[in-house]
Amino acid sequence: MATNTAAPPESTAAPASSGDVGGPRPDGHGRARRQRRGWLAWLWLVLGVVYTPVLVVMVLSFNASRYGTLPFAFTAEWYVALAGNDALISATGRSLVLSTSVAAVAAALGTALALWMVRFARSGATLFTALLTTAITIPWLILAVAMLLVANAVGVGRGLPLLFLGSLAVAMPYVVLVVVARLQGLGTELEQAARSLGARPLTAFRLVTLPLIGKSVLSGTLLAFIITFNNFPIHFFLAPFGFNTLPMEIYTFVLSGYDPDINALATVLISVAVGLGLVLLAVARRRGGDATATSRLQEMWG
Amino acid sequence: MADLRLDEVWMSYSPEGPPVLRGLSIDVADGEFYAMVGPSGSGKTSILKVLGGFVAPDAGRVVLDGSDVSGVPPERRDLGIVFQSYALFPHLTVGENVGFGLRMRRVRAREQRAEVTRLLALVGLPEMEARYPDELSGGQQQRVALARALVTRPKALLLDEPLSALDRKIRQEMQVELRRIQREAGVTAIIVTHDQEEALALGDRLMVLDAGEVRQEGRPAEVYSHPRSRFVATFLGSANLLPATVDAVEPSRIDLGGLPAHGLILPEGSRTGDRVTVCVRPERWRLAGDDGAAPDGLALRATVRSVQLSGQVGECRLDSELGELALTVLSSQVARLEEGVEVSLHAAPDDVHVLEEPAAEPTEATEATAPAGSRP
Amino acid sequence: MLPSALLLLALVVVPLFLLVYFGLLAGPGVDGPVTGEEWARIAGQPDLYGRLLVRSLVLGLAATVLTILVAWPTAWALSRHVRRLRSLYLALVIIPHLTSSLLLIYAMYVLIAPGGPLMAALTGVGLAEPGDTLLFTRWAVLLMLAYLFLPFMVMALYAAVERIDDTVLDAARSLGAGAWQRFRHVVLPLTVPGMLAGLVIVFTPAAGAFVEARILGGTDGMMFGTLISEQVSRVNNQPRAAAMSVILLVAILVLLGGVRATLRRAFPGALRGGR
Repeated sequence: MATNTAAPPESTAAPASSGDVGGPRPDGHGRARRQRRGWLAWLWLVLGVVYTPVLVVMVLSFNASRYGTLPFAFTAEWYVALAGNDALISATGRSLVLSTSVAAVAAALGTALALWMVRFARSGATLFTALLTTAITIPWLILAVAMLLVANAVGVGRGLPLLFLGSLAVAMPYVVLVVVARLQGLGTELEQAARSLGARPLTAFRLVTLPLIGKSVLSGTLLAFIITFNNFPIHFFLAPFGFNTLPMEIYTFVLSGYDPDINALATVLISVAVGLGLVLLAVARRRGGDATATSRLQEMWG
Repeated sequence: MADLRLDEVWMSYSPEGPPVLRGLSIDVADGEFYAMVGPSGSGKTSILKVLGGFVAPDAGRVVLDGSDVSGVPPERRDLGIVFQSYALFPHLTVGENVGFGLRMRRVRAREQRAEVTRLLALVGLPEMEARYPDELSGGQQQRVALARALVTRPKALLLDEPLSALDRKIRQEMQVELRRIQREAGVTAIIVTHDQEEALALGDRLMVLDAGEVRQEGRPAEVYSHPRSRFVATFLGSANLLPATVDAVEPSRIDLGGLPAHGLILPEGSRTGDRVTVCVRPERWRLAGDDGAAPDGLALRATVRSVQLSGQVGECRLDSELGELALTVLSSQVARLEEGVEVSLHAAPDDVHVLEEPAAEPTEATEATAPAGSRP
Repeated sequence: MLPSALLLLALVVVPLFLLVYFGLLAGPGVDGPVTGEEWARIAGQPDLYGRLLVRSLVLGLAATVLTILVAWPTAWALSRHVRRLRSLYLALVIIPHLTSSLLLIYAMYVLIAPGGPLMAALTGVGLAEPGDTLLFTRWAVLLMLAYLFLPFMVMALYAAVERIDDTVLDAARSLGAGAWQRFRHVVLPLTVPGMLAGLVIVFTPAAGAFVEARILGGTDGMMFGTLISEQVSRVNNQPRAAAMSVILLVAILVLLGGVRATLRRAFPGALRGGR
């Protein structure tokens, strides 16, 4: 109805004559654009700072010098060396197996706990939330030391079971908090609607609730994986001697100084992370638009 | 307190975008309560943004208290604004919210306190100073927003759909309150709203806005009872819109598909053969007995199809030779109007408005204003 | 629910409380008698333990302040000035931190090493002498901690900034508030809850860090956490590690509580109800 696109009628003053009627005035559109450019510049500056160390390592991974000295001479030999570095490769394998298994169990236990907290534990939920937040905010160093000392006192000591359980205890709360947030946003009406249409409780859960919280379970699992993969303090104190995870392996290499093998490894891992991250983001954008992608990242880092 | 003027204002949100305001001019007198009403997307809020200084017009002038304020930023325009969402500061108490403008002007603390107390009394919220906005009801938040906007004794008060978030009952109460407070403060006020009842009830003067242009302006009663276009007729209240042709100009005679109407006032410059629209408000029909044909105005017979009682009035649908008609009567009269009863309707010449535009082709009895651009 | 509750109880809650008990034992293991001698030893060397504790807390706070200074405008820019590519930018800030933090520590090591790119650039513009280095100083540790935890602060502040209603800012303008006043009286108080959340998730791990200091800090940048880890991994004095952990944890909690109380007094309306 409103013909917004029609041109202004000839009889009235056209925007072009603004100068003589309005007198001098700031051009609103132009100022906004300049401001925006300034903020974008800041954003790029921050990205520049974030990526400087990473890019330096990436560039040096192709530099022939063993000590990272210039002039730059291209080589791929460090990647060849990396491929032959059994310590790093088997450490990567150990880390992947550990993180995957911990993430899987954390997802199952965490989702169950989240459901229980939201659906059944009326007053207990606050207590549990406090407990989970504590678990998340205690420095990992202190948690790891506490776990190790208890294990020593019990007589179990360092070992794979302790490493697994310790990693699980640290990672699971993240799954719970992510899923709880989603469940609270969801409410119970949808499931009740399904029940009123004749679905049994389990069917209603499987057909209605589960698909709706699926995404947050997935991001919680991803978060658990990342946290377990990176949890150096837990690995450092709880892993059995001789069972070096990737961060531990990197640690021993780094203590001995500059190492072109690590440059190559860093380049590979960071490229994979950036690539995977961007792919996930693209998928999320195509599926659910920008808002979901952002809120999911937020969810992940709640 | 001051007068306020917009002069031929053009505005668009991006250089390439379509203009939202198209050469708009308004002139609000000192102390006047000026109501702007229009459908969503008509540019109401944009007018407030231009007046407030949040958006610079592409062309035209904003004149406040006799001086051009076009380049003056909002913080130095000295206007009080009540936002649709109230926009109360959630981290400040009611007292701090109301005192905010004084604090920005570095008024001494004691004076601030005195003024805050005075304003809270004016809006009827004494002893609420220490509360936080989220502890108040919608109506109370609205009053706080009003007090906050008035505390600096602004040159004018701008109200953006101030009552739209309130329940119907509180809304009516607040309408009365708003008028009282505006009178007592003696402040020039501009309200924009999509609610015709609000605009009719509040404004000393009323302006109907559509697609960034003024459609009609005048005293509320005047605009309501003498709409000059189909848009105004249907947007403010409801109307029977009937297609017609001008038969004769002096004395006037209009032909509504075979039915003549005499003594109507024609739009200026009408000529014989012009296609026009005849508008009659549903409550302006008179139920005539069979006391003979009235000489002037519009008279016809119709059959009651349905009656719907809504409180004090009854709304009827009738079938006539002109198609479907709407009729509103006091509920005391509804008893006479059973389904299938035939009645004589008469509208006096003063209640029949001849609008220049031809009616849309398929007969439209009462046209409901459809929201523009509701397609996904 | 039961297995997860048991897990948290057995591996988080009980061990944390037992730390207090373990700290009272006579070393080196956790099977000795209760003597409290480790507490006496720690108290007897304030210039070592006290100094390192203070340094850890100061480094943690400094890193938090640094991340706030960088993250605040970043969050604002993301929320107000980037529309379509917002999640892309956000992802770009976070993604490097999803790889192992050890890799990032290593990358920083390479960047600031003597003769490395940063020092070469600084020497080039005359800001440093050849041979100068940040490596093995507390400044290196500070830089590292701020770098590692920046994304957390960006997320916390972004959530807070995103929640600020634009019309509230317009309202402040119409009431005569200029740009600085709007920031000082409206925007800043409204982001205080976000800063507090950021403080918890940045300060706690930063003050409890140890690898960063171990690799980049040298003696100048040694932290309390480094000392704790050495008690376990090299010295093997487990009661002392326990006692030191208790001290560190309590110090962190006290400091967090102090900052929270100060902020609550400074911005009473913004932190109502507590979070």
